[in-house]
Amino acid sequence: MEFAQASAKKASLEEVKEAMKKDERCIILKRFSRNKLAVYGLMILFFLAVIAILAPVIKPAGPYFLDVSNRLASPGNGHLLGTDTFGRDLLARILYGTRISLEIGASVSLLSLVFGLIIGLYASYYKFLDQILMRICDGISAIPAILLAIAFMAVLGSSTKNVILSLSMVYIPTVARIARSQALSIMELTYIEAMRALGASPTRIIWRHIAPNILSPVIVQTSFVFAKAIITEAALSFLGVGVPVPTPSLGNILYEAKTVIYKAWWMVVYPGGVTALSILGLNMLGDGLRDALDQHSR
Amino acid sequence: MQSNENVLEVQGLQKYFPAVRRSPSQKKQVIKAVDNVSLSIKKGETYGLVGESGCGKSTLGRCILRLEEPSSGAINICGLDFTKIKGDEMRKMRRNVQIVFQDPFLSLDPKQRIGNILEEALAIHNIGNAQSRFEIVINILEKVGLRSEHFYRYPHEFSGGQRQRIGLARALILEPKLIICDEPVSALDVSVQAQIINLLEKIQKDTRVSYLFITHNMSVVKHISKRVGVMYLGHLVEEAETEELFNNPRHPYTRALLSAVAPPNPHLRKKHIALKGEMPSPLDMPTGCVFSTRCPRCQAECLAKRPEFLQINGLASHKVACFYAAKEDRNVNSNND
Amino acid sequence: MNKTILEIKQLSTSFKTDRGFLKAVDGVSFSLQEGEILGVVGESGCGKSVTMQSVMRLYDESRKSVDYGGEILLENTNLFSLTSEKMQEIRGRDISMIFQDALSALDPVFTVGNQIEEMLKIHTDLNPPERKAKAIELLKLVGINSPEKRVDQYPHEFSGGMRQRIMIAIALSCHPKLLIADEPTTALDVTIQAQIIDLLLELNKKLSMSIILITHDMSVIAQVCHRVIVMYLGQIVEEAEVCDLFDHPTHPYTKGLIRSIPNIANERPEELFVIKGTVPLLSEVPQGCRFAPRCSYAKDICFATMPDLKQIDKAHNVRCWLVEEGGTDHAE
Repeated sequence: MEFAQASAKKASLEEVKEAMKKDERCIILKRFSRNKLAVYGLMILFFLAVIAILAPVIKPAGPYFLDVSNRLASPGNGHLLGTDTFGRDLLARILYGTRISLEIGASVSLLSLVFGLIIGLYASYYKFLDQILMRICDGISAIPAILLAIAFMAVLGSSTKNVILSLSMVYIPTVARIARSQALSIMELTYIEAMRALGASPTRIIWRHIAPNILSPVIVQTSFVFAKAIITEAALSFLGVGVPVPTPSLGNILYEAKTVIYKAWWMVVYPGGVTALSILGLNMLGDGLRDALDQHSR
Repeated sequence: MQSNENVLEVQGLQKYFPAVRRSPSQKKQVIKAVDNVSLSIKKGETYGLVGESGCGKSTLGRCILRLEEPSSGAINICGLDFTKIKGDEMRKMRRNVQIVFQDPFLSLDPKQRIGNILEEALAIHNIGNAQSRFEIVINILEKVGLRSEHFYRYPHEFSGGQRQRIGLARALILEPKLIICDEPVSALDVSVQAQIINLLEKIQKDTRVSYLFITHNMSVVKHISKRVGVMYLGHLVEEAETEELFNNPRHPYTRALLSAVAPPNPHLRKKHIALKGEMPSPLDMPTGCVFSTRCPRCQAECLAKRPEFLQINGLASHKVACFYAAKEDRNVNSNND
Repeated sequence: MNKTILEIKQLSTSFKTDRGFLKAVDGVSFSLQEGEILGVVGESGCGKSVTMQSVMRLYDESRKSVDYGGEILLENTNLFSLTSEKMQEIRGRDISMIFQDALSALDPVFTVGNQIEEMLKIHTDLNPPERKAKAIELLKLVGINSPEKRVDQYPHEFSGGMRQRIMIAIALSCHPKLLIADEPTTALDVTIQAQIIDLLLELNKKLSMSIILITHDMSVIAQVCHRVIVMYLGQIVEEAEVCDLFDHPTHPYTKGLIRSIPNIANERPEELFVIKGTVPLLSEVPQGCRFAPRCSYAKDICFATMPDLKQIDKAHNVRCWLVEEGGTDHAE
């Protein structure tokens, strides 16, 4: 084929390709938007993320500013949601706390996704790795998440970074397990055999053919891990072994509320409410994604 | 055997699977999926491999490609031993043998555009660069009857017949000497089957590629093959040129198989040879001839030992593994003397 | 053999989709006599399975996603006028269906005896020992050896051909007037296919049971059926007695179907005959004759107006304009 002819042909096909890609994006968006659950979940999360990011704008004073004369003030009078035992504005604490909790949740789910995927994929492809890796994962999963997280924190020491590390180690097996089971069923399929017949290397098969096809259920699982991470972090902090005070997190605000629960309901209701809202949003998103993505794969 | 003419030579191929034991006290058993099969295919020739479910024809095809590792036996492709090599050498050899699968829906990665699927085949073997690969793919698409715009489409946007064309394009793009067609038209509608069969023949005419055509459809195999091999329970029981096999089937199983094929003609409603029983479980293979449990011609010696694969009808190209057929042959010859 | 068991009048079935209601079956009419074997042939998408599943009203009507039109008369009772409960009684007792994939049609956690007896429990008044005896009798009828032993085995312990026989046994358990067989031999090996065909012929003769056989395999049609209807895109395009259909195929689609099969008895042609084009989507049904875009003989009128089914010979109907004008061009 003449070089000029070929280039022209390629150019016209490129246009076709762009048009198709646009079409496909529209279809995915449409399908996603039809799923009410997913949309509302996303909206809730988006709202939380926005206020978390805008925390310095909304409350430039920050979460550590003490208004000592107004300790445990009920909502109103310059403190929209009241103050805590040290006189810190609760709204500010909650905004920054949400930020920390969301950061932790996002980091944990990202780490779980990446390492869970790697472990699951290689365990499914290589039998000997499977034995080793899955036994480790089984061992980790056998211990309740909170207890395990507490144990890790005890070993690593108290800091936000260590919370992320501990929770990641706790939840990687969850993602690894689903990645592995999905990968195992994909590996039986004819197109994987076709790749082997073509001479493709295991790396290519794993990353270019198995991974994209298991991404949907793995991502859904990751969104649930996000939610679990937030809850577990809240639980850890509530028990005093999570994010170290005075850094606010949704959990350790509740930790501080423990002693004043009858005197200051706002210290329980508001952070609790925000925690519940974020979990709700994440679960809705996860459910919705599962429904939306499942239809797409065929 | 002139090894420079034969694209494929299989010698004594065996594939045994260990059977899952129900309890540790049970004896270790093997499933002999393919047992001592030898065949060869010349350049530009189509060899039809027929048999019913469980006869091992698909397993044989996959062993030839080393998608399954043969338990023993030799496989020579274009004169080179394919059984022992590994790694890069094996990848290079894969350019010579490719496969078209039965299932048009699962044989293509649903997340890849078909143009990329085809380009990847070239990339794996480091053929060309981005620009030239694109051209090669467009050429191949047009050769199999698709259009260049289809490059950017996903598999689910195509019909079954079109997907088989894509599968064929993928098999052809590396310019192999042999393509294993594993029931390529069984999952397609009748009129689409005809299209794909015509396409396979046209490509063979243009490129002189050889086919190992695995199927259970006797009419299709008669149309497309030059030679035919009949398998039963892992064994090759008869092999001949197509005309000869269909006109003079000698093995009782081949005869029963051919009699069961219904021609699309209501005036030809005939009685078919009824075989008693069912294909035995591969765990419970009969001693002696594998067909002995169902054969209408079974004699004492059939139960005692396996018949050899010997020529018959005075033709080197017609071979049968059957004591009865050999006897019949001797009677015919002695009558003629 | 003259009693009419089933009469379908202008049946239409539409499904609700994103693009509105799509008609999968459009104005299909035919009748079936007692003891007759009717073949319904056509390729994927022609509506043959949908037609038969509509006869049994198998589609979920509660969600209003399917819309029926026309009448289905089972010995003078219009099945569309029955309530769901009454229809449930009819299914299995008066009309039975067997499917292509016998493995997934049988429940893997129940023995085959249980599954046959379940049918008897629903539709008859037999007590448990009587049911078991009947189950054994049915297994014998369909040619399963040692039925007393095998009646307590599970589906996975049987081969494909045997499972198909078991499905037939279940379908026959209440002596239905009509058996609908949806591609019963497609997934089976050639020798097993021959056995199942023999079985169906034997049952037809012995029990005088009417059978509707759906398939895309013209060879099976040739071996088994008395009469044939050919469907394309939801309509009947040709209808005839079997010998007449194969000797004088008139509609171009029928001709194409018969010619594209490699015939084991014939000389090998250079190239197989191919019907050009592909079956269009239901949402893009052409105006005029639905086969016109793929027909080598199509004239202007074919693209403009839909032809009706016209009788061209005794019991031979064709939907084609070329027939009206004195016959198709036989010069190829």
